[in-house]
Amino acid sequence: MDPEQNDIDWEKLEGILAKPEQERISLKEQLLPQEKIALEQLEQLQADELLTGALQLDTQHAWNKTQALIGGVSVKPVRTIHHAWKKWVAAACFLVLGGTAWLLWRNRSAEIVQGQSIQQGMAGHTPSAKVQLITATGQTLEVDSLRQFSEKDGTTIYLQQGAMTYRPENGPSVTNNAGDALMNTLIVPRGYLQSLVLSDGTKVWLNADSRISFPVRFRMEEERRVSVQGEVYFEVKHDEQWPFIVSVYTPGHDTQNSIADAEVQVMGTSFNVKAYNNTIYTTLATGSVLFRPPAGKPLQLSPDNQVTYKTQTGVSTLQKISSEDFTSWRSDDLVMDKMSLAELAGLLERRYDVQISFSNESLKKIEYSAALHLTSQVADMLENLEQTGLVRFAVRDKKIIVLPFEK
Amino acid sequence: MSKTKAPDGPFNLASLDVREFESLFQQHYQWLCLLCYKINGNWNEAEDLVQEFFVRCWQKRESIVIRESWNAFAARSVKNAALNQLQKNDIRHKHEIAAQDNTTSVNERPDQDTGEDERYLRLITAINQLPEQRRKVFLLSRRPDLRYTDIAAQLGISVNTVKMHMRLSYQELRKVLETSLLFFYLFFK
Repeated sequence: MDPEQNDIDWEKLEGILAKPEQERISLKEQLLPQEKIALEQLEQLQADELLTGALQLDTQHAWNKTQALIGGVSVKPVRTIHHAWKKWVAAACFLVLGGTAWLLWRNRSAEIVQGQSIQQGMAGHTPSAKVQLITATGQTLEVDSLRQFSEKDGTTIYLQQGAMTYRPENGPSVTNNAGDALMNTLIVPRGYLQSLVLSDGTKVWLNADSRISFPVRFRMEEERRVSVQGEVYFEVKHDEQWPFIVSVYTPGHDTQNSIADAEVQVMGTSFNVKAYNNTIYTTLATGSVLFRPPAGKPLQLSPDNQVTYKTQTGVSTLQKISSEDFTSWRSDDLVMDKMSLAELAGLLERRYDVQISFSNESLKKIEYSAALHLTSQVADMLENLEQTGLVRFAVRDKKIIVLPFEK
Repeated sequence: MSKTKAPDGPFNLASLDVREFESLFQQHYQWLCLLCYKINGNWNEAEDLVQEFFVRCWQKRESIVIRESWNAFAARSVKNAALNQLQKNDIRHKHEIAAQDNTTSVNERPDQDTGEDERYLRLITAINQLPEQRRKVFLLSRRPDLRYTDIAAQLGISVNTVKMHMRLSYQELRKVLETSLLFFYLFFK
Protein backbone atom coordinates (compact mmCIF):
# COMPACT_ATOMS: atom_id res chain seq x y z
CA MET A 1 0.00 0.00 0.00
CA ASP A 2 1.15 3.43 -0.89
CA PRO A 3 0.96 5.46 2.32
CA GLU A 4 0.40 8.72 0.46
CA GLN A 5 -2.65 7.36 -1.22
CA ASN A 6 -4.27 6.58 2.09
CA ASP A 7 -3.77 10.13 3.27
CA ILE A 8 -6.07 11.62 0.67
CA ASP A 9 -8.97 13.43 2.31
CA TRP A 10 -11.69 12.42 -0.13
CA GLU A 11 -14.37 14.23 1.74
CA LYS A 12 -12.50 17.51 1.32
CA LEU A 13 -12.07 16.82 -2.39
CA GLU A 14 -15.75 16.05 -2.81
CA GLY A 15 -16.49 19.31 -1.04
CA ILE A 16 -14.30 21.19 -3.48
CA LEU A 17 -16.02 19.61 -6.47
CA ALA A 18 -19.39 20.69 -5.14
CA LYS A 19 -18.30 24.34 -5.09
CA PRO A 20 -18.95 26.86 -7.93
CA GLU A 21 -16.29 26.88 -10.61
CA GLN A 22 -14.43 30.06 -9.54
CA GLU A 23 -13.97 28.89 -6.00
CA ARG A 24 -13.12 25.39 -7.18
CA ILE A 25 -10.21 26.63 -9.26
CA SER A 26 -8.70 28.66 -6.46
CA LEU A 27 -9.12 25.86 -3.95
CA LYS A 28 -7.49 23.46 -6.36
CA GLU A 29 -4.40 25.68 -6.52
CA GLN A 30 -3.84 25.17 -2.79
CA LEU A 31 -3.81 21.39 -2.99
CA LEU A 32 -0.76 19.17 -2.75
CA PRO A 33 0.32 17.59 -6.06
CA GLN A 34 -1.04 14.13 -5.23
CA GLU A 35 -4.29 15.70 -4.07
CA LYS A 36 -4.61 17.48 -7.38
CA ILE A 37 -4.34 14.22 -9.23
CA ALA A 38 -6.86 12.62 -6.94
CA LEU A 39 -9.22 15.52 -7.49
CA GLU A 40 -9.01 15.09 -11.23
CA GLN A 41 -9.67 11.41 -10.92
CA LEU A 42 -12.64 12.04 -8.71
CA GLU A 43 -13.98 14.63 -11.13
CA GLN A 44 -13.61 12.21 -13.98
CA LEU A 45 -15.42 9.49 -12.06
CA GLN A 46 -18.27 11.72 -10.96
CA ALA A 47 -18.87 13.32 -14.34
CA ASP A 48 -19.01 10.00 -16.15
CA GLU A 49 -22.63 9.58 -17.18
CA LEU A 50 -21.89 6.50 -19.24
CA LEU A 51 -20.54 4.76 -16.19
CA THR A 52 -23.40 5.88 -13.97
CA GLY A 53 -25.92 4.65 -16.53
CA ALA A 54 -24.25 1.29 -17.00
CA LEU A 55 -24.01 0.64 -13.26
CA GLN A 56 -27.74 1.07 -12.91
CA LEU A 57 -28.53 -1.78 -15.30
CA ASP A 58 -29.97 -4.82 -13.58
CA THR A 59 -27.64 -7.59 -14.66
CA GLN A 60 -29.50 -10.32 -12.78
CA HIS A 61 -32.79 -9.44 -14.40
CA ALA A 62 -31.13 -9.35 -17.80
CA TRP A 63 -29.58 -12.75 -17.22
CA ASN A 64 -32.95 -14.23 -16.26
CA LYS A 65 -34.39 -12.98 -19.51
CA THR A 66 -31.46 -14.28 -21.52
CA GLN A 67 -31.49 -17.61 -19.76
CA ALA A 68 -35.15 -17.98 -20.60
CA LEU A 69 -34.26 -17.61 -24.26
CA ILE A 70 -31.39 -20.04 -24.26
CA GLY A 71 -32.86 -22.52 -21.79
CA GLY A 72 -35.85 -23.81 -23.72
CA VAL A 73 -34.80 -26.95 -25.54
CA SER A 74 -37.26 -29.46 -24.06
CA VAL A 75 -39.82 -31.58 -25.91
CA LYS A 76 -42.19 -28.82 -26.82
CA PRO A 77 -42.28 -26.33 -24.02
CA VAL A 78 -45.16 -23.95 -23.86
CA ARG A 79 -42.66 -21.27 -23.09
CA THR A 80 -39.85 -20.90 -20.64
CA ILE A 81 -40.37 -18.02 -18.35
CA HIS A 82 -38.36 -16.84 -15.41
CA HIS A 83 -38.94 -14.96 -12.18
CA ALA A 84 -40.95 -11.87 -11.40
CA TRP A 85 -42.08 -10.99 -14.89
CA LYS A 86 -42.92 -14.56 -15.83
CA LYS A 87 -46.33 -14.42 -14.25
CA TRP A 88 -47.28 -11.48 -16.39
CA VAL A 89 -45.88 -13.02 -19.52
CA ALA A 90 -47.71 -16.24 -18.74
CA ALA A 91 -50.93 -14.37 -18.16
CA ALA A 92 -50.51 -12.51 -21.42
CA CYS A 93 -49.71 -15.68 -23.32
CA PHE A 94 -52.73 -17.41 -21.92
CA LEU A 95 -54.87 -14.51 -23.01
CA VAL A 96 -53.47 -14.61 -26.52
CA LEU A 97 -53.53 -18.38 -26.77
CA GLY A 98 -56.90 -18.35 -25.08
CA GLY A 99 -58.37 -16.37 -27.94
CA THR A 100 -57.07 -18.67 -30.65
CA ALA A 101 -57.77 -21.80 -28.72
CA TRP A 102 -61.33 -20.69 -28.17
CA LEU A 103 -61.88 -20.52 -31.91
CA LEU A 104 -60.37 -23.95 -32.33
CA TRP A 105 -62.40 -25.19 -29.44
CA ARG A 106 -65.65 -24.00 -30.97
CA ASN A 107 -64.93 -25.83 -34.20
CA ARG A 108 -63.90 -28.90 -32.35
CA SER A 109 -66.59 -29.15 -29.74
CA ALA A 110 -68.98 -30.78 -32.18
CA GLU A 111 -66.50 -33.61 -32.68
CA ILE A 112 -66.35 -34.58 -29.03
CA VAL A 113 -69.03 -37.16 -28.86
CA GLN A 114 -67.58 -39.99 -26.83
CA GLY A 115 -66.90 -37.86 -23.76
CA GLN A 116 -68.95 -35.15 -22.07
CA SER A 117 -67.60 -31.61 -22.01
CA ILE A 118 -65.26 -30.97 -19.13
CA GLN A 119 -67.61 -28.55 -17.45
CA GLN A 120 -70.58 -30.93 -17.64
CA GLY A 121 -68.50 -33.93 -16.69
CA MET A 122 -67.06 -32.30 -13.60
CA ALA A 123 -70.17 -30.39 -12.57
CA GLY A 124 -70.85 -30.62 -8.86
CA HIS A 125 -67.52 -32.30 -8.15
CA THR A 126 -66.37 -31.96 -4.54
CA PRO A 127 -63.52 -33.70 -2.74
CA SER A 128 -64.58 -36.99 -1.16
CA ALA A 129 -63.13 -36.41 2.33
CA LYS A 130 -62.96 -33.40 4.63
CA VAL A 131 -60.16 -31.87 6.69
CA GLN A 132 -59.99 -33.75 9.98
CA LEU A 133 -58.49 -33.17 13.39
CA ILE A 134 -57.61 -36.10 15.62
CA THR A 135 -57.61 -34.96 19.24
CA ALA A 136 -55.50 -36.20 22.13
CA THR A 137 -58.26 -38.62 23.14
CA GLY A 138 -58.49 -40.04 19.64
CA GLN A 139 -61.71 -38.28 18.74
CA THR A 140 -62.07 -37.24 15.07
CA LEU A 141 -63.49 -33.79 14.34
CA GLU A 142 -64.32 -32.17 11.01
CA VAL A 143 -62.49 -28.89 10.86
CA ASP A 144 -64.95 -26.88 8.75
CA SER A 145 -67.73 -27.47 11.26
CA LEU A 146 -65.46 -26.82 14.21
CA ARG A 147 -66.32 -23.60 16.01
CA GLN A 148 -64.27 -23.90 19.10
CA PHE A 149 -62.85 -26.82 21.00
CA SER A 150 -60.89 -27.17 24.22
CA GLU A 151 -58.21 -29.75 24.86
CA LYS A 152 -57.80 -31.37 28.26
CA ASP A 153 -55.05 -28.98 29.27
CA GLY A 154 -57.23 -25.95 28.63
CA THR A 155 -55.81 -25.01 25.25
CA THR A 156 -58.55 -23.57 23.06
CA ILE A 157 -58.62 -24.36 19.38
CA TYR A 158 -60.62 -22.21 17.04
CA LEU A 159 -60.78 -21.11 13.43
CA GLN A 160 -59.44 -17.64 12.78
CA GLN A 161 -59.68 -16.45 9.17
CA GLY A 162 -59.61 -20.06 8.05
CA ALA A 163 -56.52 -20.95 10.09
CA MET A 164 -56.85 -23.42 12.95
CA THR A 165 -55.40 -21.57 15.89
CA TYR A 166 -54.09 -23.01 19.15
CA ARG A 167 -54.16 -20.63 22.07
CA PRO A 168 -52.98 -21.73 25.50
CA GLU A 169 -55.34 -20.64 28.27
CA ASN A 170 -52.79 -19.21 30.65
CA GLY A 171 -49.52 -17.58 29.74
CA PRO A 172 -47.02 -18.89 27.22
CA SER A 173 -47.09 -22.40 25.93
CA VAL A 174 -45.64 -24.16 28.99
CA THR A 175 -47.18 -27.40 30.18
CA ASN A 176 -46.83 -29.23 33.44
CA ASN A 177 -43.87 -31.46 32.84
CA ALA A 178 -45.48 -34.69 33.96
CA GLY A 179 -46.24 -37.32 31.34
CA ASP A 180 -46.35 -37.03 27.60
CA ALA A 181 -47.53 -33.89 25.89
CA LEU A 182 -51.03 -34.02 24.41
CA MET A 183 -50.71 -34.66 20.70
CA ASN A 184 -53.06 -33.61 17.92
CA THR A 185 -52.99 -34.65 14.27
CA LEU A 186 -54.39 -32.59 11.44
CA ILE A 187 -55.20 -34.51 8.27
CA VAL A 188 -55.69 -32.57 5.06
CA PRO A 189 -57.05 -34.88 2.34
CA ARG A 190 -56.89 -34.39 -1.41
CA GLY A 191 -58.81 -31.36 -2.56
CA TYR A 192 -57.97 -28.98 0.33
CA LEU A 193 -55.38 -26.60 1.67
CA GLN A 194 -55.37 -25.81 5.40
CA SER A 195 -53.40 -23.43 7.59
CA LEU A 196 -52.66 -23.73 11.26
CA VAL A 197 -51.15 -21.61 14.05
CA LEU A 198 -49.36 -23.65 16.72
CA SER A 199 -49.34 -22.74 20.40
CA ASP A 200 -45.90 -21.06 20.08
CA GLY A 201 -47.15 -18.83 17.25
CA THR A 202 -45.49 -20.82 14.47
CA LYS A 203 -47.55 -20.67 11.27
CA VAL A 204 -48.07 -23.78 9.20
CA TRP A 205 -49.63 -24.28 5.76
CA LEU A 206 -50.56 -27.78 4.64
CA ASN A 207 -50.94 -28.65 0.99
CA ALA A 208 -53.50 -31.22 -0.17
CA ASP A 209 -52.88 -34.83 0.90
CA SER A 210 -50.67 -33.88 3.87
CA ARG A 211 -50.72 -34.27 7.62
CA ILE A 212 -48.99 -32.92 10.71
CA SER A 213 -48.74 -34.24 14.29
CA PHE A 214 -47.87 -31.72 16.96
CA PRO A 215 -48.14 -31.15 20.70
CA VAL A 216 -51.13 -29.07 21.74
CA ARG A 217 -48.62 -27.10 23.79
CA PHE A 218 -44.90 -27.30 23.33
CA ARG A 219 -43.11 -28.44 26.42
CA MET A 220 -40.50 -25.82 27.10
CA GLU A 221 -37.93 -28.17 28.51
CA GLU A 222 -36.82 -29.70 25.26
CA GLU A 223 -36.95 -28.84 21.59
CA ARG A 224 -40.19 -28.11 19.76
CA ARG A 225 -40.92 -31.10 17.59
CA VAL A 226 -43.58 -31.81 14.97
CA SER A 227 -44.00 -34.60 12.40
CA VAL A 228 -45.20 -34.10 8.84
CA GLN A 229 -46.11 -35.96 5.70
CA GLY A 230 -46.90 -34.51 2.26
CA GLU A 231 -46.09 -30.85 1.66
CA VAL A 232 -45.94 -28.30 4.46
CA TYR A 233 -44.70 -24.70 4.67
CA PHE A 234 -43.55 -23.31 8.02
CA GLU A 235 -42.99 -19.85 9.39
CA VAL A 236 -41.32 -20.75 12.63
CA LYS A 237 -41.59 -18.42 15.59
CA HIS A 238 -38.06 -17.49 16.49
CA ASP A 239 -36.91 -18.79 19.87
CA GLU A 240 -33.21 -19.45 20.28
CA GLN A 241 -33.64 -21.50 23.43
CA TRP A 242 -36.04 -24.00 21.97
CA PRO A 243 -34.98 -25.31 18.59
CA PHE A 244 -37.81 -26.33 16.27
CA ILE A 245 -37.46 -29.73 14.66
CA VAL A 246 -39.58 -31.13 11.86
CA SER A 247 -39.55 -34.90 11.38
CA VAL A 248 -40.38 -35.75 7.80
CA TYR A 249 -42.15 -39.00 6.91
CA THR A 250 -42.64 -40.33 3.40
CA PRO A 251 -46.01 -41.93 2.60
CA GLY A 252 -46.79 -45.18 4.34
CA HIS A 253 -44.77 -44.27 7.43
CA ASP A 254 -46.78 -43.55 10.55
CA THR A 255 -46.03 -40.06 11.87
CA GLN A 256 -46.62 -41.13 15.46
CA ASN A 257 -45.04 -44.53 15.80
CA SER A 258 -42.19 -44.99 13.35
CA ILE A 259 -38.78 -43.43 12.83
CA ALA A 260 -38.65 -40.31 10.68
CA ASP A 261 -37.15 -40.48 7.19
CA ALA A 262 -35.32 -37.22 7.80
CA GLU A 263 -35.36 -34.22 10.09
CA VAL A 264 -35.15 -30.50 9.56
CA GLN A 265 -33.77 -28.45 12.42
CA VAL A 266 -34.84 -24.87 12.36
CA MET A 267 -33.45 -21.61 13.65
CA GLY A 268 -36.43 -19.22 13.28
CA THR A 269 -37.20 -19.28 9.65
CA SER A 270 -39.64 -19.95 6.83
CA PHE A 271 -39.26 -23.03 4.71
CA ASN A 272 -41.10 -25.72 2.81
CA VAL A 273 -40.87 -29.51 3.05
CA LYS A 274 -42.36 -31.79 0.46
CA ALA A 275 -42.46 -35.57 0.76
CA TYR A 276 -45.14 -37.05 -1.48
CA ASN A 277 -42.99 -39.95 -2.58
CA ASN A 278 -39.51 -41.29 -1.91
CA THR A 279 -37.95 -37.90 -2.46
CA ILE A 280 -37.93 -35.25 0.26
CA TYR A 281 -37.54 -31.65 -0.89
CA THR A 282 -36.60 -29.03 1.67
CA THR A 283 -36.71 -25.45 0.42
CA LEU A 284 -35.59 -22.48 2.48
CA ALA A 285 -37.22 -19.07 2.00
CA THR A 286 -35.68 -17.08 4.87
CA GLY A 287 -33.38 -17.70 7.82
CA SER A 288 -31.44 -20.90 8.14
CA VAL A 289 -32.21 -24.59 8.61
CA LEU A 290 -30.24 -27.78 9.02
CA PHE A 291 -31.35 -30.81 7.02
CA ARG A 292 -30.55 -34.08 8.80
CA PRO A 293 -30.71 -37.30 6.84
CA PRO A 294 -30.79 -40.42 9.04
CA ALA A 295 -27.17 -41.13 8.14
CA GLY A 296 -24.40 -38.84 6.96
CA LYS A 297 -23.61 -35.20 7.43
CA PRO A 298 -26.37 -32.66 8.06
CA LEU A 299 -26.68 -29.98 5.38
CA GLN A 300 -27.01 -26.31 6.20
CA LEU A 301 -29.36 -24.38 3.93
CA SER A 302 -29.21 -20.67 3.12
CA PRO A 303 -32.18 -18.79 1.66
CA ASP A 304 -33.12 -19.99 -1.83
CA ASN A 305 -31.38 -23.31 -1.28
CA GLN A 306 -33.13 -26.60 -1.81
CA VAL A 307 -32.04 -30.03 -0.63
CA THR A 308 -33.31 -33.03 -2.55
CA TYR A 309 -33.01 -36.21 -0.54
CA LYS A 310 -33.72 -39.65 -1.98
CA THR A 311 -34.81 -41.94 0.85
CA GLN A 312 -34.00 -45.07 -1.13
CA THR A 313 -30.41 -44.21 -1.98
CA GLY A 314 -29.74 -41.83 0.90
CA VAL A 315 -28.26 -39.30 -1.51
CA SER A 316 -28.88 -35.61 -0.81
CA THR A 317 -28.06 -32.77 -3.18
CA LEU A 318 -28.14 -29.05 -2.57
CA GLN A 319 -29.08 -26.60 -5.27
CA LYS A 320 -29.91 -22.95 -5.68
CA ILE A 321 -33.49 -22.18 -6.67
CA SER A 322 -36.01 -19.39 -6.38
CA SER A 323 -37.84 -20.34 -3.18
CA GLU A 324 -40.89 -18.34 -4.16
CA ASP A 325 -41.57 -20.83 -6.93
CA PHE A 326 -41.75 -23.64 -4.41
CA THR A 327 -43.84 -21.93 -1.77
CA SER A 328 -46.44 -20.12 -3.86
CA TRP A 329 -48.76 -23.13 -3.67
CA ARG A 330 -50.11 -21.57 -0.46
CA SER A 331 -51.91 -19.00 -2.58
CA ASP A 332 -52.67 -21.59 -5.28
CA ASP A 333 -50.07 -20.15 -7.62
CA LEU A 334 -48.14 -22.73 -9.53
CA VAL A 335 -44.77 -22.09 -11.12
CA MET A 336 -43.70 -24.79 -13.52
CA ASP A 337 -40.15 -25.00 -14.72
CA LYS A 338 -40.08 -27.84 -17.24
CA MET A 339 -42.65 -29.75 -15.24
CA SER A 340 -43.78 -32.91 -16.98
CA LEU A 341 -47.47 -33.39 -17.61
CA ALA A 342 -47.24 -36.56 -15.49
CA GLU A 343 -46.06 -34.52 -12.51
CA LEU A 344 -48.63 -31.82 -13.16
CA ALA A 345 -51.37 -34.46 -13.32
CA GLY A 346 -50.26 -35.83 -9.94
CA LEU A 347 -50.41 -32.34 -8.50
CA LEU A 348 -53.91 -31.71 -9.88
CA GLU A 349 -55.09 -35.07 -8.57
CA ARG A 350 -54.06 -34.01 -5.09
CA ARG A 351 -55.25 -30.45 -5.32
CA TYR A 352 -58.73 -31.27 -6.68
CA ASP A 353 -59.15 -34.86 -5.52
CA VAL A 354 -59.68 -36.12 -9.06
CA GLN A 355 -58.36 -39.05 -11.09
CA ILE A 356 -56.40 -38.37 -14.22
CA SER A 357 -55.30 -41.02 -16.70
CA PHE A 358 -53.40 -40.79 -19.96
CA SER A 359 -54.67 -42.20 -23.24
CA ASN A 360 -51.11 -42.38 -24.45
CA GLU A 361 -47.93 -42.75 -22.41
CA SER A 362 -45.98 -40.28 -24.54
CA LEU A 363 -48.26 -37.46 -23.38
CA LYS A 364 -46.78 -37.77 -19.89
CA LYS A 365 -43.49 -36.43 -21.18
CA ILE A 366 -44.87 -33.12 -22.42
CA GLU A 367 -43.22 -30.34 -20.44
CA TYR A 368 -44.68 -27.10 -19.23
CA SER A 369 -42.86 -23.96 -18.20
CA ALA A 370 -45.26 -21.29 -17.09
CA ALA A 371 -46.84 -19.68 -14.08
CA LEU A 372 -50.52 -20.09 -13.53
CA HIS A 373 -53.14 -19.75 -10.88
CA LEU A 374 -55.00 -22.85 -9.76
CA THR A 375 -58.65 -21.96 -10.25
CA SER A 376 -61.17 -23.12 -7.69
CA GLN A 377 -62.88 -25.46 -10.15
CA VAL A 378 -60.86 -28.22 -11.76
CA ALA A 379 -62.85 -27.87 -15.01
CA ASP A 380 -61.64 -24.27 -15.47
CA MET A 381 -58.10 -25.41 -14.85
CA LEU A 382 -58.31 -28.15 -17.46
CA GLU A 383 -59.75 -25.73 -19.98
CA ASN A 384 -56.84 -23.38 -19.38
CA LEU A 385 -54.43 -26.20 -20.03
CA GLU A 386 -56.24 -27.14 -23.23
CA GLN A 387 -55.59 -23.62 -24.44
CA THR A 388 -51.91 -24.38 -24.64
CA GLY A 389 -52.77 -26.51 -27.66
CA LEU A 390 -50.77 -29.53 -26.54
CA VAL A 391 -53.43 -31.80 -25.07
CA ARG A 392 -57.15 -31.96 -24.54
CA PHE A 393 -59.20 -33.60 -21.83
CA ALA A 394 -62.28 -35.77 -21.78
CA VAL A 395 -64.33 -36.78 -18.76
CA ARG A 396 -65.98 -40.17 -18.32
CA ASP A 397 -67.65 -41.07 -15.03
CA LYS A 398 -65.92 -38.11 -13.34
CA LYS A 399 -62.58 -39.53 -14.41
CA ILE A 400 -60.36 -37.26 -16.47
CA ILE A 401 -58.58 -38.62 -19.52
CA VAL A 402 -55.70 -36.83 -21.24
CA LEU A 403 -55.88 -37.05 -25.03
CA PRO A 404 -53.55 -35.78 -27.74
CA PHE A 405 -54.68 -32.46 -29.13
CA GLU A 406 -54.87 -33.53 -32.77
CA LYS A 407 -57.81 -35.94 -32.92
CA MET B 1 -14.14 -20.65 -12.55
CA SER B 2 -10.81 -19.73 -14.07
CA LYS B 3 -12.20 -20.23 -17.54
CA THR B 4 -14.60 -17.34 -17.13
CA LYS B 5 -12.19 -14.88 -15.60
CA ALA B 6 -12.43 -12.32 -18.40
CA PRO B 7 -10.19 -14.27 -20.72
CA ASP B 8 -7.59 -12.28 -22.58
CA GLY B 9 -6.27 -14.89 -24.93
CA PRO B 10 -7.94 -17.11 -27.54
CA PHE B 11 -11.05 -18.52 -26.09
CA ASN B 12 -13.38 -21.41 -26.68
CA LEU B 13 -17.07 -20.75 -25.98
CA ALA B 14 -18.04 -24.36 -26.54
CA SER B 15 -16.13 -25.43 -23.44
CA LEU B 16 -18.39 -23.42 -21.11
CA ASP B 17 -21.29 -24.87 -19.19
CA VAL B 18 -24.33 -22.75 -18.37
CA ARG B 19 -22.93 -21.58 -15.06
CA GLU B 20 -19.68 -20.45 -16.56
CA PHE B 21 -21.56 -18.77 -19.33
CA GLU B 22 -23.68 -17.00 -16.73
CA SER B 23 -20.64 -15.60 -14.98
CA LEU B 24 -19.28 -14.42 -18.31
CA PHE B 25 -22.60 -12.65 -18.76
CA GLN B 26 -22.57 -11.18 -15.24
CA GLN B 27 -19.07 -9.82 -15.67
CA HIS B 28 -19.55 -8.21 -19.07
CA TYR B 29 -23.18 -7.23 -19.34
CA GLN B 30 -23.02 -3.64 -18.06
CA TRP B 31 -19.82 -2.98 -19.93
CA LEU B 32 -21.14 -4.20 -23.27
CA CYS B 33 -24.35 -2.22 -22.79
CA LEU B 34 -22.22 0.86 -22.19
CA LEU B 35 -20.41 0.29 -25.49
CA CYS B 36 -23.73 0.01 -27.34
CA TYR B 37 -25.09 3.07 -25.61
CA LYS B 38 -22.12 5.07 -26.79
CA ILE B 39 -23.28 4.36 -30.33
CA ASN B 40 -27.07 4.41 -30.15
CA GLY B 41 -27.70 6.55 -27.07
CA ASN B 42 -30.52 4.34 -25.83
CA TRP B 43 -30.14 2.08 -22.79
CA ASN B 44 -33.17 -0.09 -23.59
CA GLU B 45 -31.96 -0.85 -27.08
CA ALA B 46 -28.46 -1.36 -25.77
CA GLU B 47 -29.73 -3.96 -23.31
CA ASP B 48 -31.69 -5.78 -26.00
CA LEU B 49 -28.70 -5.90 -28.31
CA VAL B 50 -26.38 -7.26 -25.65
CA GLN B 51 -28.88 -9.91 -24.58
CA GLU B 52 -29.32 -10.94 -28.20
CA PHE B 53 -25.56 -11.14 -28.54
CA PHE B 54 -25.32 -13.53 -25.59
CA VAL B 55 -28.18 -15.65 -26.89
CA ARG B 56 -26.40 -15.91 -30.24
CA CYS B 57 -23.14 -16.80 -28.54
CA TRP B 58 -24.78 -19.60 -26.62
CA GLN B 59 -26.74 -21.00 -29.51
CA LYS B 60 -23.78 -20.96 -31.86
CA ARG B 61 -21.10 -21.71 -29.30
CA GLU B 62 -20.02 -24.84 -31.17
CA SER B 63 -19.30 -22.96 -34.36
CA ILE B 64 -18.04 -19.58 -33.15
CA VAL B 65 -14.28 -19.33 -33.41
CA ILE B 66 -12.76 -16.52 -31.39
CA ARG B 67 -9.24 -15.78 -32.56
CA GLU B 68 -8.79 -12.58 -30.59
CA SER B 69 -9.57 -12.21 -26.87
CA TRP B 70 -13.12 -12.60 -25.61
CA ASN B 71 -13.17 -8.92 -24.61
CA ALA B 72 -12.18 -7.74 -28.07
CA PHE B 73 -14.58 -10.16 -29.74
CA ALA B 74 -17.53 -9.18 -27.54
CA ALA B 75 -16.86 -5.45 -27.85
CA ARG B 76 -16.56 -5.64 -31.62
CA SER B 77 -19.70 -7.78 -31.96
CA VAL B 78 -22.01 -5.58 -29.93
CA LYS B 79 -20.69 -2.37 -31.47
CA ASN B 80 -21.30 -3.75 -34.93
CA ALA B 81 -24.77 -4.82 -33.89
CA ALA B 82 -25.47 -1.31 -32.59
CA LEU B 83 -24.17 0.28 -35.80
CA ASN B 84 -26.19 -2.10 -37.98
CA GLN B 85 -29.30 -1.35 -36.03
CA LEU B 86 -28.72 2.34 -36.37
CA GLN B 87 -28.36 1.91 -40.10
CA LYS B 88 -31.57 -0.05 -40.28
CA ASN B 89 -33.48 2.34 -38.06
CA ASP B 90 -33.10 5.43 -40.15
CA ILE B 91 -30.89 6.12 -43.10
CA ARG B 92 -31.18 9.85 -42.71
CA HIS B 93 -30.28 9.62 -39.08
CA LYS B 94 -27.21 7.70 -40.07
CA HIS B 95 -26.00 10.57 -42.21
CA GLU B 96 -26.32 12.97 -39.35
CA ILE B 97 -24.26 10.70 -37.18
CA ALA B 98 -21.66 10.39 -39.90
CA ALA B 99 -21.47 14.17 -40.17
CA GLN B 100 -20.98 14.43 -36.43
CA ASP B 101 -18.33 11.79 -36.58
CA ASN B 102 -16.28 13.88 -38.97
CA THR B 103 -16.14 16.78 -36.62
CA THR B 104 -15.15 14.69 -33.66
CA SER B 105 -12.92 12.26 -35.43
CA VAL B 106 -10.18 12.76 -32.85
CA ASN B 107 -12.23 10.68 -30.43
CA GLU B 108 -12.62 7.92 -32.94
CA ARG B 109 -8.99 7.02 -33.17
CA PRO B 110 -9.00 3.30 -32.71
CA ASP B 111 -6.29 3.08 -30.07
CA GLN B 112 -7.85 5.69 -27.88
CA ASP B 113 -11.21 4.06 -28.29
CA THR B 114 -10.08 0.61 -27.19
CA GLY B 115 -8.16 2.16 -24.34
CA GLU B 116 -11.27 3.87 -23.10
CA ASP B 117 -13.37 0.75 -23.52
CA GLU B 118 -10.92 -1.24 -21.48
CA ARG B 119 -10.87 1.42 -18.82
CA TYR B 120 -14.65 1.13 -18.47
CA LEU B 121 -14.43 -2.63 -18.15
CA ARG B 122 -11.86 -2.30 -15.41
CA LEU B 123 -13.89 0.34 -13.59
CA ILE B 124 -17.15 -1.60 -13.74
CA THR B 125 -15.40 -4.77 -12.67
CA ALA B 126 -13.72 -2.99 -9.79
CA ILE B 127 -17.00 -1.45 -8.63
CA ASN B 128 -18.86 -4.73 -8.85
CA GLN B 129 -16.11 -6.41 -6.88
CA LEU B 130 -16.36 -4.01 -3.97
CA PRO B 131 -17.72 -5.68 -0.83
CA GLU B 132 -21.52 -5.78 -0.96
CA GLN B 133 -22.28 -2.97 1.49
CA ARG B 134 -19.56 -0.75 0.10
CA ARG B 135 -20.86 -1.28 -3.41
CA LYS B 136 -24.36 -0.32 -2.29
CA VAL B 137 -23.05 2.85 -0.71
CA PHE B 138 -21.05 3.70 -3.78
CA LEU B 139 -23.94 3.12 -6.18
CA LEU B 140 -26.27 5.24 -4.08
CA SER B 141 -23.63 7.98 -3.97
CA ARG B 142 -23.85 8.20 -7.76
CA ARG B 143 -27.38 9.48 -7.50
CA PRO B 144 -27.26 13.27 -7.44
CA ASP B 145 -30.39 13.51 -5.30
CA LEU B 146 -28.92 11.59 -2.36
CA ARG B 147 -26.61 13.07 0.24
CA TYR B 148 -24.51 11.02 2.65
CA THR B 149 -27.12 11.47 5.35
CA ASP B 150 -29.78 10.07 2.97
CA ILE B 151 -27.61 7.08 2.13
CA ALA B 152 -26.94 6.45 5.80
CA ALA B 153 -30.65 6.54 6.58
CA GLN B 154 -31.53 4.30 3.66
CA LEU B 155 -29.03 1.62 4.63
CA GLY B 156 -29.49 2.01 8.36
CA ILE B 157 -25.85 2.85 9.03
CA SER B 158 -24.09 5.92 10.40
CA VAL B 159 -22.88 8.79 8.24
CA ASN B 160 -19.34 8.02 9.32
CA THR B 161 -19.69 4.50 8.02
CA VAL B 162 -20.89 5.89 4.70
CA LYS B 163 -17.83 8.13 4.59
CA MET B 164 -15.58 5.23 5.42
CA HIS B 165 -17.07 3.16 2.59
CA MET B 166 -16.70 6.04 0.15
CA ARG B 167 -13.08 6.60 1.13
CA LEU B 168 -12.25 2.93 0.64
CA SER B 169 -14.17 2.80 -2.65
CA TYR B 170 -12.26 5.77 -4.04
CA GLN B 171 -8.97 4.29 -2.99
CA GLU B 172 -9.81 1.07 -4.75
CA LEU B 173 -11.07 2.73 -7.93
CA ARG B 174 -8.15 5.07 -7.99
CA LYS B 175 -5.84 2.21 -8.74
CA VAL B 176 -7.87 1.58 -11.88
CA LEU B 177 -8.01 5.24 -12.85
CA GLU B 178 -4.29 5.71 -12.36
CA THR B 179 -3.33 3.78 -15.47
CA SER B 180 -6.11 5.13 -17.65
CA LEU B 181 -5.36 8.75 -16.79
CA LEU B 182 -2.01 8.25 -18.46
CA PHE B 183 -3.83 7.48 -21.64
CA PHE B 184 -5.90 10.55 -21.27
CA TYR B 185 -2.86 12.76 -20.89
CA LEU B 186 -1.08 11.21 -23.83
CA PHE B 187 -3.81 12.30 -26.15
CA PHE B 188 -4.94 15.59 -24.81
CA LYS B 189 -2.13 17.24 -22.98
